[in-house]
Amino acid sequence: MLSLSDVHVNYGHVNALKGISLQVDDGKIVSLLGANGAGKTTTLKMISRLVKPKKGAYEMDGKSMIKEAPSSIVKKGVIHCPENRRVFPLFSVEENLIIGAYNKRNKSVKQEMEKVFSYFPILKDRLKQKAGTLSGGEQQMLAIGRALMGKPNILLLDEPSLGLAPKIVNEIFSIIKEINKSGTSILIVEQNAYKAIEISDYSYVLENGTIALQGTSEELKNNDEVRRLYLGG
Amino acid sequence: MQIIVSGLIFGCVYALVALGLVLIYKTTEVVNFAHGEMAMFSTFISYVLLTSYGLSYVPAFLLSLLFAAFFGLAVYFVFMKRVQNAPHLNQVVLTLGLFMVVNGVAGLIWGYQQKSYPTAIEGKPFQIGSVFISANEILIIILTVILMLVFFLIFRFTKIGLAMRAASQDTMASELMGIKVTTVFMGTWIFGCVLGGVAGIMTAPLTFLSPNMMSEVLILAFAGAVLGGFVSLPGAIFGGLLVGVFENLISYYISPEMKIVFVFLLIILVLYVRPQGLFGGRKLMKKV
Repeated sequence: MLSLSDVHVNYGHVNALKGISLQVDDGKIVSLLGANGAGKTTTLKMISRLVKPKKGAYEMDGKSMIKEAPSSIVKKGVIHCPENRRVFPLFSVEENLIIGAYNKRNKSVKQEMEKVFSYFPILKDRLKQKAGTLSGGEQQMLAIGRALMGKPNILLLDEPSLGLAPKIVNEIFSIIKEINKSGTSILIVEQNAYKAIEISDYSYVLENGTIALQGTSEELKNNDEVRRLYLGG
Repeated sequence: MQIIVSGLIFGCVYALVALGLVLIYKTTEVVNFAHGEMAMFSTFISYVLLTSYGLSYVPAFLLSLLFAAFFGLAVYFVFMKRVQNAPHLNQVVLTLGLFMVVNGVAGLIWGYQQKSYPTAIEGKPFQIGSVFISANEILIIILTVILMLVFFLIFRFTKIGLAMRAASQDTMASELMGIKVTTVFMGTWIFGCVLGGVAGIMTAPLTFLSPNMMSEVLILAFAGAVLGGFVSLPGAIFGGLLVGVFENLISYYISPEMKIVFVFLLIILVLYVRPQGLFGGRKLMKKV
């Protein structure tokens, strides 16, 4: 279980997060919704410790992670699949997957790779191709596959649907659900609120660096404000 | 033929310096202008070990490379790590400052008069076909080839190599893979400085030892690196060798004073035709 309580993050003089508290229970899908600049990505970056919180508590299974470095967060099984995919463009698909298991023993790499191919068979066909030459959807699949190579307990997904065709978005969301069924908790940041609420157990709505609203998917779907602002009517 | 071979020997030195420059640039995006001076300092250390402490060549060579490694480590932790997130121009100016400081300190300690530096292997040159070559020159070539191979293998097949290649593409994504980017940068500075140290020790017998011995070498190595595209390791080596040969040809057929002028003319020409350098074809566009 991962939990944040009253986390503040500053970029210079800008308060990006003003006291965020949230919780990801084991085996659940939790989504973070909100407009541009609400602090969704910053929250994920804070969890993977790319940015430093000014104050607040951050715990994983009861242990404080506030002082840990990004590499030890990865070792604890919290794997962040960043916005804009950020695959290594000059690496082949295979190298991208191998580096996803950077902190793992070499023996398990082949096995994990097969698992990734079971979710994304197309990556197997593209194995030797440079990641920079893949299409957007394939790059997103590679980015998720790369994150899976690190055997996440909690997978942080930042805008997996960004810039993709609706058909591919559907495909990726159903795979996210499958990944969750195999035991990985997921914290997903999405602009596509409708899709995100549909697959998640619990959602938080961020506004200007604070949590404006939270609830189970059912509650949010029936909430008038959410319908008006995020679900389009 | 003799001119080309002698050019290749100088080219090996340029290639080694260029390799260190490109290695550091490629991974950390900083052009280390102090590279030559740091190499010079390590060379002086080996000189002191050889003359004052009477060590024989091989231990002095290895100890001074150990010093070069620590020097690189110190420069990274004391200076470069603190400005890692500053604009690149600031970082480059810092290395320029280091250039002057290291040069000045070496001058204060050892003075500016030139000293002769022993070669690794003594002995008269011998003849192969129409070319005269000394055992020491052969050693320089062999050493360069070995170092190139070692670096190629490290880069291609080891975990640290994978991490270095990843960090050079995207530091943030590398952090998210669990790579300790600070450690990778540190390793890069160490490798780069050791390469520089080797180049310095190889240069000293050819140019004499003095605090200013590396400045021209650095400029020409820089030229070689630019020719090769500045992001490609094979490019750096090829560029270094090309500059060495070209410079020697100019010295012989035109005049030694004109060599730098012509080397830069060559660079202007190459960059005019191929702005990304000979090997820099796959310039990375960063997505915003």
